[in-house]
Amino acid sequence: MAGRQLTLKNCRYVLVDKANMLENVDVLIEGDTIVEVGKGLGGGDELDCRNCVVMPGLANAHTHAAMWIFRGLFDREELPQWLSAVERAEEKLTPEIVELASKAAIMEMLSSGTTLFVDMYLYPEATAKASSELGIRAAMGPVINDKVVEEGRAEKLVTDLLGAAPPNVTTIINVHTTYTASEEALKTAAKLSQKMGLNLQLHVSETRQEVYKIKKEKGVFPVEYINKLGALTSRTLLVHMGWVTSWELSLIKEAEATVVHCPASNMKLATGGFLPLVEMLNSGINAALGTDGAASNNSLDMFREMKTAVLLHRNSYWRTDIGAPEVFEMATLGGYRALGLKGGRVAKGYLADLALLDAASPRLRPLRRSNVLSNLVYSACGCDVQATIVGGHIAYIRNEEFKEKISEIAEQLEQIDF
Amino acid sequence: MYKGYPVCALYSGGKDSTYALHWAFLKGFNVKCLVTLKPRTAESWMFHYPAVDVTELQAKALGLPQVFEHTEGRRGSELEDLKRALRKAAEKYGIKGVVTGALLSDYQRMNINFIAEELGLKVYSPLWRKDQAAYLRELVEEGFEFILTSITVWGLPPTLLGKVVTMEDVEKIIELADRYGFNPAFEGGEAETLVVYAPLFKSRIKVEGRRVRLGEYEWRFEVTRAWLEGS
Repeated sequence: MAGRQLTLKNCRYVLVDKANMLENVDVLIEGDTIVEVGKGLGGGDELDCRNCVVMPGLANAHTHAAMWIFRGLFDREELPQWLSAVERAEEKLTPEIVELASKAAIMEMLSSGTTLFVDMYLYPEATAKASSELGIRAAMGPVINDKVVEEGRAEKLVTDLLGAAPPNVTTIINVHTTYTASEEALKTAAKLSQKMGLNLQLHVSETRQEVYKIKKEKGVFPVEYINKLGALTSRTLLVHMGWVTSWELSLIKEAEATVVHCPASNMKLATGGFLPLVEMLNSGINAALGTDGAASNNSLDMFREMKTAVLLHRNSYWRTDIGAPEVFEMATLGGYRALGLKGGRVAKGYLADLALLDAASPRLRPLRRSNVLSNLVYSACGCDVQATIVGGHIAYIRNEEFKEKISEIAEQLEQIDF
Repeated sequence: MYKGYPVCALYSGGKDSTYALHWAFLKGFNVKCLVTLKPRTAESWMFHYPAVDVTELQAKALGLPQVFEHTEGRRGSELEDLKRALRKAAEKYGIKGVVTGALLSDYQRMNINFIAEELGLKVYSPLWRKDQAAYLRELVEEGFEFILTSITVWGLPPTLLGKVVTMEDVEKIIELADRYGFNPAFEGGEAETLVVYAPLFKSRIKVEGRRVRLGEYEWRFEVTRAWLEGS
């Protein structure tokens, strides 16, 4: 069905994907889809992009948006202590606070080129509302835990959100992790995911303590455990995975599940693992990138995350196998692919989810065809984004009005004391 | 003055544990002692068997105390032996972490980590998933001198037993590893090594021994005499 048209005119560079670059071309969008990329295109509203680098929008494949409110509060704790501190602070949260904090996070993400985020948090309906209002693409869902399962509310929670979800929001099923959810809760989540065809997101093998506990109690490693319970499928998003073993990688590959890597959060929380990213990518496992929440990263800037991922793996492997192309693909295509969305490339038929960067920014200079991707990953930051387009709509334009709006929200949230 | 985070090095006397120990020193860790498991059987799942006694000389050459623990080398029970040894090191030397030379075996890495988890110790495995051929070359380039003390894989010539591995030998090993399909750093136990000199050794270890054939392509270098040079 034809929709409203938008043309990005004379784009200085279009980074189609990790391997393809176009110069001085136009991008024609119709409705929520890119219909043509080439020269001499026009139609609908026109955006002058002669000073822009156009790239696929970034997919933040794992975050807890509303945790924006806790940024900078718990910086010294290791994960178990950090979790306890966060849980105490969360007692003050209401759906209204979650909605407002989600708005702040979403505005920050949009302003740094993120067009899609996958969320896991309390009151997903509040975050869904904020996402819809601000025009970002998002995936979120209720957290299935023991209480919800005991009370027989799991399916209703999912269907309620599914029924109320605005068009840009994909409903998914969340489970916190293997050691905080019972076998029953995991099985229920797996069944719902299968029955309703929804993605299932869970933190797995994040810490040594978790792997130890599961191995001791269940006799198997975490990925083996969730596989046994039917929760490892092509719809599963396995987040963190720093303590995954080589034999578990084979299961992930076989199931065609996605691994979401959150390098900054893992390092900041000193989880001490080693995600075998080179082996994962070589075996063809779909990998995506996430910032995790602002309480543990503390940034939501996917440009920083891409660079951090490269640095971590070069330092860990003492090799340069992981570079800009690998992390760029994880941060774009990888995230969209995880949700079964045709996005993450600037090409015909793909979702018009795009980030437009200021080609005049000193961080992008010297700018040559040969170093565009390198500059984006190693030098640029979210603040170089001039505009963000989601589903053909301009969701962010860098201006004073946007700055004031985010400032107003921040001021309200800063009144809450933790 | 801060002396660095107190750790022990899980030490077999082979190239990997010696390299990991050096890494720990270079990183500023306070290496308080070596921990060595002495298998009673050659079939140990986790720990080197050949020439493990020479580790006493290595400890002297490094000027580090050593915690010894005997192990039956049986799967399962040797983990208890390792736990005992690490507990001893923690009690005696106040260590908070363990440095290991684990290369690629998740079985080895995770078992050590599970024990460390129970004891509240951190584990550092600097060689984990490093490029094996590059690592082998670096070892020799950086002045680590080691001999092969056993061979259990088709393709490695017994002439390598008992002699200090040169860069020429390294290239040969890498080529053979590629041709016969084994790990060039012997991660799967294709061969065992013994370090006779390393940058932090105060003196060189001299070794005499003989080659013993155990099977079609299984060989061992039996150390008959070992001593510190100059002693």
